[in-house]
Amino acid sequence: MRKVNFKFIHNIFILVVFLFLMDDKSFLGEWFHEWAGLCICLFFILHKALNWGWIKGTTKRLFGKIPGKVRLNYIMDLLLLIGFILIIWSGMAISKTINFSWLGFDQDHRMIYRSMHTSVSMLTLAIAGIHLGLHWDWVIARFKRSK
Amino acid sequence: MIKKILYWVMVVVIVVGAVYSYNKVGFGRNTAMLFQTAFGDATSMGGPGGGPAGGGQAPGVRPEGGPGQASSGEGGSQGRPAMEGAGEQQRPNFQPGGAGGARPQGDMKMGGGPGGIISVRNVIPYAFILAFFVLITCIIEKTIRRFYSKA
Repeated sequence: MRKVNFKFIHNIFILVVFLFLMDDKSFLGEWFHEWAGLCICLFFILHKALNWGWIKGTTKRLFGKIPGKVRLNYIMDLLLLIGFILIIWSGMAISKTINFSWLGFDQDHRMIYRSMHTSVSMLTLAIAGIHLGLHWDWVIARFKRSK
Repeated sequence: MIKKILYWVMVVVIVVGAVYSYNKVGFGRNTAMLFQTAFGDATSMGGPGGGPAGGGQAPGVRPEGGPGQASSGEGGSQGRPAMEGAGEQQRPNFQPGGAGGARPQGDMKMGGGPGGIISVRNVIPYAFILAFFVLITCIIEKTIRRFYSKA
């Protein structure tokens, strides 16, 4: 399989799983929500690794002369990364079916972790939509080529 | 012509669906929750249905979890659990890898374990919200591109 095709399928997979993760009551319940949430973390890292060339190149040129869209893309990617980190971190703190007590999360702040998990996931969904919108031409091109 | 009609039908469906979903999932309320937590305005976090809190928490936050504290799952506004998980630091029966604490009654369609019912209905509102942001971004991008190509 060509790298670009793999990237496309991988991206669709992340998007679908992320949508299923938005509601912990859908699909297979909390068990699925927590395990799939951990797995998507790995897929997200793979997504970054697959696009490492772009990240590296843009980081070097960020404060130079680059198109505004590329800069906006970079900022959105950064926000997405922060969003995913916060979601996974707060998700570990409020986990019910996987025991993360060994990580030493302060259970007195469980309520804060909970609200952080919910609100950051909503914000991340919005950012993911913007991210997808910015890459919509690429998505359409891939669909046309796969026909 | 058909393409144009389809495009506008899709736009209308996405916008209407997103507006409906925005209220259904409490997108604004849930997003604002982060800022409310950050600025310490905990009184408005539980929604209008919030009851008295247990465990030294701020009033208005619906308690959940432990036996004797389980609520009906309708404490939050619009029937959706607003702050599910509040008060969970007191849950006495944490079961790693198991079903977790006692579930609120009236929320029987899901289970804590792998035997939960497969339901994708709750995901649809989020798909609409995502589609809305994709659409808005595409429209703004195209408008900017058109503006620069004319200039």
